[in-house]
Amino acid sequence: MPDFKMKILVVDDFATMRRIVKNILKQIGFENIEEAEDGEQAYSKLKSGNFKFVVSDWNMPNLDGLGLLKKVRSDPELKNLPILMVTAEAEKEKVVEAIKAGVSNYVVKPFTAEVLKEKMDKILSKMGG
Amino acid sequence: MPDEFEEIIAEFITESEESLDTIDPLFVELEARGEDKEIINEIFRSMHTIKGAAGFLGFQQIVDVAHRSESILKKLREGEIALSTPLMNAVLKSVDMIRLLLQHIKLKDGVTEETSPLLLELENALNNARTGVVPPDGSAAYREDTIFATADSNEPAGQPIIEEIQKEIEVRTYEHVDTEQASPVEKTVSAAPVRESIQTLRVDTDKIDKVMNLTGEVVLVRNRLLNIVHYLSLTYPDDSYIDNLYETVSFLDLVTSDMQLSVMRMRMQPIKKVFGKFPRLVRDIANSLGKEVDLRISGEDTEVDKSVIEQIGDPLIHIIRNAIDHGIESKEDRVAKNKPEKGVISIDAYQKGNQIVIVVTDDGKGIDIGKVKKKAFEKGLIIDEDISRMTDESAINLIFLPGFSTQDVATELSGRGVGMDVVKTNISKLNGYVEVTTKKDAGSSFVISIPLTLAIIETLMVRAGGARYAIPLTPVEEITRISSKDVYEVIGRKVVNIRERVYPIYSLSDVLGSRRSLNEEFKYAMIVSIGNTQFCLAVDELLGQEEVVIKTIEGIDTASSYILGATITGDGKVVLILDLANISRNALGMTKV
Repeated sequence: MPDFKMKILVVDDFATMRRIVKNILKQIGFENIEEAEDGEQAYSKLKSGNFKFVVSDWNMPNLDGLGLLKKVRSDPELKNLPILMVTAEAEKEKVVEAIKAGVSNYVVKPFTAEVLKEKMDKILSKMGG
Repeated sequence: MPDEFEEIIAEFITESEESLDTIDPLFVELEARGEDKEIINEIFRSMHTIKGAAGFLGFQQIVDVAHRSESILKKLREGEIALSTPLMNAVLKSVDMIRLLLQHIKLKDGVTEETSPLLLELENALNNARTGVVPPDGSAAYREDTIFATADSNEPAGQPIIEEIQKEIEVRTYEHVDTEQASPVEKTVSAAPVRESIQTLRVDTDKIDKVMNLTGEVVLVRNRLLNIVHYLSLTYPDDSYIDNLYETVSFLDLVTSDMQLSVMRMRMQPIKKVFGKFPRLVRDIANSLGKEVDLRISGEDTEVDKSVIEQIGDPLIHIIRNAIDHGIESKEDRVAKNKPEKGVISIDAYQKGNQIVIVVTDDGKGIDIGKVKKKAFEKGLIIDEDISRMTDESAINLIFLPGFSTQDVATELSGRGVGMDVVKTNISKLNGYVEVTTKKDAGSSFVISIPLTLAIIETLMVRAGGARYAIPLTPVEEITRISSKDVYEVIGRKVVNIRERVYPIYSLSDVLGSRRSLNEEFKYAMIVSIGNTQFCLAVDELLGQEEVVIKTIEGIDTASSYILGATITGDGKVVLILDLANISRNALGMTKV
């Protein structure tokens, strides 16, 4: 059973997508969700807020998902923060690159609440165990 | 949560349209600049994002179209294929198709579009492009596409790879646990505050309009208070409480003005939102007519009211269409006239006082005024004697009359006879006006002036024929004192000579049909300037200047009547606000009075 009170950051430049992801997270039971428009903004928020989980889009202006991932992993304060990457298709090279950069897992758009929950459970149980 | 879902869909439509709006001009830029990876990537991102969200919302047709053109864009970006006209056209068609599909979703009209021909075209464009650039073995790349398309279902071809990756991810996740030393999150609490990016908030326009209306009410209350305090201070000149009240109300006055401005700003957006569509539009129209047109845009950061953004597009598109279709000559004609082969259309926007001015200029053949007069006569829009008497400046305005069109054969693009009158009507709806200047073989210029805000205007309070009226101050150039002996008749028209200039003069009470006429004594004349037309309007009394909030009157057709609306003045009376643009337009017909 995940901690439904944990603070989650949803990162996407498309407001509709943020809203959709937020809704799915709420459907799962999470209540404490914040949003960021791109990697830069996400990083600022992560630095200043007590976030326990990040769901980030890949393609974004300024700092993209991969850039954010690398920045978080190289930040001693944030490096263990679980990051779930949302991608439009299972692009082999991209996913491999993300894995090398330390992504916690990825999920292919469009996904259902069940799929997202499963991925999150997987990440969180491994972290806790 | 059906409402939530509806809201998400509405947001999706708006956001997708916005996104398409931003990429539209990029296509033209791409065509002009050749392959530019940045631009291609920008277009790719937009398609990609729309596809992603559409997938969640179950708009499969959008997903399919976006996906195919995204594949093209991806290969372009990676340099695997070269930019070509068929490719570009196919992608442009996808943009149009997505817009159309969004429109159907928005209207809930249940209309379905046949996307398969487009999908085929996209596929063919990609296939053909591929054989041209990379080795003939395009099969690998193509298979990759198929995997992507079915990525979420049980992808048979891609499964082993993905499983492999999954395993790798799982190993990695363990590694994270291993290396974990302390709780990472606790430390972050003490982190120094970090710079936030631009803070924006999406607010329903209804809510802003509500604030706007309330502000309008506050303005009215402020006006009444100012009025009352004024009388109080006259009645009790030495009362310190009244002095305090006076001071307080003066402060309220200032704050109200600031508040008004701030709310107005909230509704304002850069006109770029409208202009952004034009490069593509001009390209498409010019291509279809076999003409070459260079579009020059300036002042696209000028901010205008949201309603202007929404309503100015169509009239501008019409003017641009006409300019390319009728204004800009064919290449041969231009060369024969010693003009550059490429025609130029420039669009400029700027703020001038309380007005937003938008100018559309072409360097085409100009409008033939003789032909305009002749046509208007043939169509029964003017009578014989008008032809000789009408100045060129007034004659050109005939193109704005309903049912007027100089093109004998209606072309596909414009000249259906429902052209310029619609332009005029649309602009009038924004309380604006449009004027034209034209010069043979040098081109034409359409100047559109629109008030900065539609809700609150600065007016002049006057009395005419025993009633009070509010007159919008913007078109009033000057107010002067005259007497009836300054007025004389020239070829059946009443005119007035003011500082060596002769203006036609009308009595406001005559115009409005009240009993008083020009023969009676009146004292003041306003010189009004609407576009190229200047005239004098005589009134009995000037009562002062007042900022008023326009309230529309139900049952009055503001497009054709002389009344813009009504307002409540500082002393609590209801006063009609006059529409000088309509009065001016119809002043042409008043010469016989």
